[in-house]
Parts: sequence; C-alpha cells; structure tokens
Amino acid sequence: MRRNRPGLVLAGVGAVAIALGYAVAVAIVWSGLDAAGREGFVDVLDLVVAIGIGLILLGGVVAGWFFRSFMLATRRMTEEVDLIATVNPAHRVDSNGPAHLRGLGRSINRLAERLWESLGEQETAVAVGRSAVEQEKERLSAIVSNLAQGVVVCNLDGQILLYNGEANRLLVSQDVDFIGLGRSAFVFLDRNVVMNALHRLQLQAERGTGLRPQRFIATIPSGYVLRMTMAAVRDAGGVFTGFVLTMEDATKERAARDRRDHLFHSITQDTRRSVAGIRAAIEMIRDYPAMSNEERGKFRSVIADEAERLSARVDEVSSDHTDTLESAWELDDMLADDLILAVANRIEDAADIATSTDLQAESVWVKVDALALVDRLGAVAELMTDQAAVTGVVIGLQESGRFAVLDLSWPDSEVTELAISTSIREVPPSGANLESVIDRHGGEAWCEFGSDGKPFLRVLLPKSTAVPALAVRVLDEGRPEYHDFDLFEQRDPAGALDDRPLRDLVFTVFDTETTGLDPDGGDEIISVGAVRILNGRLLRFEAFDQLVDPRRSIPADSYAFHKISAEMLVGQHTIDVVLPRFSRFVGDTVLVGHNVGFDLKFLRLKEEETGIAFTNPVLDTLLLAAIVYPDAEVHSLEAMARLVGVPVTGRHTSLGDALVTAELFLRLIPLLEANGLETFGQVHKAEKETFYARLEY
Amino acid sequence: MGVRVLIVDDEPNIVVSVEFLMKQEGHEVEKAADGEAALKLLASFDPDLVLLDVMMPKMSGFDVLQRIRTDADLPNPAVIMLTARGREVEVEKGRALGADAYVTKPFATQDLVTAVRDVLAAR
Repeated sequence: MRRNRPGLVLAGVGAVAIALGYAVAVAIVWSGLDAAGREGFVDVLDLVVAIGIGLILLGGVVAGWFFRSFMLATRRMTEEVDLIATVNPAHRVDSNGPAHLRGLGRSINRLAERLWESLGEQETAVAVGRSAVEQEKERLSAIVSNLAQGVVVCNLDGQILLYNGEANRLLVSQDVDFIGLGRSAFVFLDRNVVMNALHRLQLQAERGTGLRPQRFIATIPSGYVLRMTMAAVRDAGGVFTGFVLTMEDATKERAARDRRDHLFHSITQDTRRSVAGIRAAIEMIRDYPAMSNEERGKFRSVIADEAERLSARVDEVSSDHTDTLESAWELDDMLADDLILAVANRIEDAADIATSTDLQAESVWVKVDALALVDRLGAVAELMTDQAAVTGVVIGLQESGRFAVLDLSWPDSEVTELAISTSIREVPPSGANLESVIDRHGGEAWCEFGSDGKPFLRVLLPKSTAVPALAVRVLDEGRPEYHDFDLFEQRDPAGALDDRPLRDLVFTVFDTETTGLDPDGGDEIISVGAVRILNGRLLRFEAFDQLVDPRRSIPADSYAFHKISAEMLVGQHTIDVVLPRFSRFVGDTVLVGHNVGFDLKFLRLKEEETGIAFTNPVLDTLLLAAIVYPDAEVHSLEAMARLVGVPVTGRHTSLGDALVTAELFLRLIPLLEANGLETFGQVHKAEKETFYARLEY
Repeated sequence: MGVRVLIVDDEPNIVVSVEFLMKQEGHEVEKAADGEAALKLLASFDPDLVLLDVMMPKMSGFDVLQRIRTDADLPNPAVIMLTARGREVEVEKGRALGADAYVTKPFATQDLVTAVRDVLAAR
C-alpha cells in the first residue's frame, strides 16, 4: 500500500488538475454564451460531463504513467547506482527503462566500467600495501594450522583469537562443545588454572626476571590429559594483552609411563620374592649341614622351583613388554611398504642407482625411527656403490613370526661379505652406525647368503603389535579463518546492544530445511546449518551442519526441494539432541536468517520438548533487503543475493543457504549504513516498520 | 623356652625355610597361608610372635596387623613384617600400625634370626 501511495497521490493530483482546467474552460464557455446558447449547452451537458470524466481519467492515467516511467524508474536507478557504488561494482543499471532514461543508464554503465577498472587497480595497490601486515598474519595462521601441537591464543578474557586444527581435535569433545574465534576458552580449560599461570607470569614480569613459560597438566572435558605450556602476549609497552597456550596429548604418554612404573614394581617384587626363597633355602642347606636328606631335598626343590619362576618371568617381560620399555624412544608406527619406498627413494637420490622392490608381505607395521633408519640404509647402499660396480639394488620384504624381514641385495654385482659386514658397523661422520640404530629398534642386521651363494644384507625389525588406526591428518584446504587478532583490542564490548554498530557484533546466520511449510500441521526440521560472522568476517570453517531425524516420513514434494531422503536421516540425531547442541553453537550471538520467522516458528514449537528457548536478538535479511530495496518485486534469497553480487551455490542445503544468507547480510550492512542505519537498534527499528508495512500491503 | 611363632605367608617356598629356621631356634611353629586363617589361629594358638607377609590375597598383612593391634579380643603378640616391596614408605606404615620390626625380602636368614631374638628380648 505504502509503496504505491506516491503514485496514487500523483494520479489524483493529475486528475484534479485536469478536472479544474476543464471546469474553468466550461465556466468560460458558459459565461460567454447567451441564454439560447446556454439552453443548447444544457442539452449537451451529458456530453460535457462525459468528456470531463474522460479527461479526469486520462489525467490520472497520464500521471500514473509519469510516475512509473519517470519517478519510479529514477528511484530504481538511484538504488542501482548506490549498489554499484557500495557493495557490487559489477552491477549494471537496466537500460531497458523508459526511452528518456536509456541514455542516462548507458552513461552510468560507462562510468561503472571506469569505476570497475580503477577499483581493480586500487585493489592491486591495496593488496600490495596490505601485504606487510595481512600476509604476515596469514602466514602465521597457515604455519600454526599445520603445527603438530595444539595452539590457542586468547585475550585476557579468555576469548579465542587464534587456534589450529590440533587444538580443535584435542579440546573439543564430540557433539558437546565448539571452539571458535571470539568464543571462550574457559569452556575447555579451568579458568582458575589458567589465571593462576597468568598471575605467575605477571609476577615474573613485575620482578623483571624474564618470563619463563608456565607448564601445567590439564584434564579437559574431552577426556584428554594435555600438557600445556603457557606464554604471555604483551604489547609494545609490556602490558599483558593475552596468552598463548600450546598443548600436547599426554594421555598416551601418561598411560605408557604408568605401564612402565607398574612393570618395574611388579618385576622388583617378583624378583625379591623368588630370590628370598632361593637365598633362604641355600642358607638353610649351608648353615644346617646336619639336616635330613628329606629336608635337604625340600630346600633343593625350592631353589629349582624359584629359579624356574624367575626365568619365566624374565622371558615374559622381554617378549610382552618390549613396547612398554621401548616407548622411551621416539618410534612411530609405519607401514613396512612405506619404509621400503622411502629407502628406495633415498638410495636413488643419493647413489643414483636403480632400485626395485620385492614385497612378499603386505600390511606389515613396524615401529621405527624412520629418519635414522632410512638414512643409515641409504648410506649402506652408497658404500656398496663406492666399492663395487653396482648396477641395481633389490629391496625385499618378508614376514617372519614377530619380525619384519628387510633385505638389501645386489643380484647383478660382485658385492662381498666383508663389504656388507663392514657397512653395518661403519660409523658415519655424524651419529650412529646401522648396527646401533637397528639395535635401538630391538632388531638385528647381518650378512646372509642367498641360495645362489651371494651375500646380502638382512635386517630384522620387530613388528608393531598395535596396528594404528589410519589417522590421516586432513589438512584444511583453502585458508581457514583461524585467527582474529582484532580481538586483542576488543575486550568487554561496552554499551547496550541497541547502541552497538552491526559491524562489531557476532552473528550466527542459520537456515533449516523442513518436511514442509506447516509446523503446526506436523512438519518437522530435517536439517540445520549455520555459520558465524565475527568482526565483519564470515567464518566459513566454523560451521554447524546437522541432519535431523524428523521421526516422520519425507513428503515427495519437499524431497524435490531439498533432496534429503529418508535414508539419509536414518541414524541421525533427533531434534531433542540437535537443538541443545545448536543452542551452544549459537551462544549469545545475534541470530540472522532469510525470512527467519519461518525457521524460528519451527524452533519455538520445540521449546517445550527440548527445553531450549532461543531468546537471542534476531535480524531477517528479507526485511533488511526490503529496507534497502523497497521497490523490488521479489525479495527472495536468490534474487537478493544475485542483485548484490553474491554467487549463489549449494542452494537448498541448510549450510549452503546459511552461507548465501551470510554473504547477503554482509553486503546489506554497508547499504543499510548508506541509509543512515548503523546500530543494531536503528536497524531493528527500521526492520519492524518494514515488517508492518509489508503486512499492510 | 616355649616360644610360639605363627608364620603368615602365601608363598610356600619361603615358608619352608622360615619354618625350618624357627624350629632350629627351638620355637613352636604354626603356619597360615592367608589373613583369615591367621586371625583364626591367633586365638587358638596364642603366639608370642607373628612373622607376617605384607602382600597376600584377600586381607593384606597390614589389615591383619591392624586387627591384631586394635581388636581387644585377640592376643597381642610381637609382629615382624616381611615384604617383597622394598619401599621405605611401607616400613613407615608398618611401624605406624604397630609392627615391632620390618624385614625386606630377600633377607639373610641370620638377620631374620637376629630380628626375632631382638623382638622377643624386648618384650
């Protein structure tokens, strides 16, 4: 209604103006007529009135046409120019408008072209200028994300500014908590422990003794025992602004140490017991020679018995507890095939000899110090090359009982036994020889003879008892937004939400897919997707993406829309599990969605069942778009996204739609600012007005 | 002399020697393989000295010692603890619970004999 009012007013004004003009003309004619003329005029009064009405209508139509082709088109063009100037320089105005505006449209588009070109140049310049700071940050972030240790950087409030994938893995227990920029680290870490460590660092700083990183062990909700090292972050003036925590998994280490301790104590105890029996028996025999033969026989059998027990115990320890005792060495589980491949590469690189492999066993795991082993075996091959005309090396692998058997042979060369035996003990300029490296692995190496009488090098390595799960470390593709150093400056955001600019707020942009459009009629949520926006940046890697078992069937028409089948939902969590988790993901952020009322209605209907009420402040991108583009015919997510230049991909998955919505939202912010709407309060008020205006409409 | 010694240990191989040794000393000997059997024998045998192993299944030697020292219905003999765990902290615990001496396995039999004589002389 409101949108058309200027048009109606204008049409009315036009009609009234024409009616007035006509009335004046009629009055002039009337006054110029004599009585007879007037009588004749009255006869044609019907015609006069009809012409008058016709003219009035014409006036309205003309005014309406004027409104559409001039005012409305001009207003639309103004919006389009704003769009080009703010968030979407790739946009071009519609030159199919009224003829008189086409020329203007073309000129604007030419100007936009020039703007586009100069923006390109500017962007390059900005990128170059930015490189110093931003690229350093990005590089740091990239390095940290690939570290084997978990790293978390926080400001003094415990808000996370940077974290890496390993920290995520160690700290976050499945389905319970979320790590994320701007979130609190105290969800995972005991605040008192952290604050204590920080306090000790502060004391050190005050004493001027230099800051020693604080170490402590923390058991965290995910069940891991972590060895933490904490260092202070200080600004140029030496003021504490935050802290860096590095963490390593001490769970296994602690378990291994416990096993070693236990083993040590039980061996000591068993030995003491047996030796006590033997010693006492021997002393009886020695000190009381007058004892009867029967008694002497009893003591002798005690000695034999205990000696046997001792031997068995020693065997048991060395065979069953090799892992426990050797875990002091940094040995990694490795597939023997991979080890051989690495040896072959090393030989080819260093000695430039062709290698071939002869693998007679599969999936044999060994516990090795791969670096040292590959290096030493490569060095042996090099030595052979120096001593004989070596053309090729065959590396073989077999399995024999508890051992992996690795052979290096030279079938086409005259390699001597002496050369092989020497190479095993040859001490390299730096470090240990092959013999001691193999010994450290609990293995052996020697020169063996083949059926053809040719000598070759044989290496026995103990197989790894526990085959490790295939722990593939997936490195994140692209560049994860794992850092936000702006948070160092931004502590305890002051002021009420209404007074804070949109740019400073944390948003959770979300979308749901449902079995249909009628929550009251039994339709249910089948997926929830969400992303976070922090400091005006979309955190793509901190996403929430969860299918939900709706405990009902999927109607065919809804399937056609979202392509989520009933099979895909088998075994998924139900809404009473998903919503509490989603609520933790959302925290106290502002919720954003496109036509968010629809999604909220579904969430509200679940309040009673799940006990989760979303009382967060909410913004609706549909209404925000309507504020910026009141005249657009549709404000659908897709239309609005295209208008502001957001590439639309992955539609109709919750996460895909949430991402598009988030991008749209980020581009609406400057457009809202251009309309004088900056704070949450201002935007929220305008949103409400638009909402009621649309209801009226 | 008529000294009665109760040997409490679940390891027969050490009991053989200790029993022989005590008999050579001229003492009267009874044996128990666990704590419960020991508590039963305490009342009927009424020993002057108990040689008590720490590590036993069911009741530990410490449990037995505590019962001896706290249960007024039981006789209150001298107690020498025998243990295969050489930790000093256990020696302290034994003393605190009321053991008269503490002998760590393996031991020289002569030391055990000396310990028994000292403890009996001190009574």
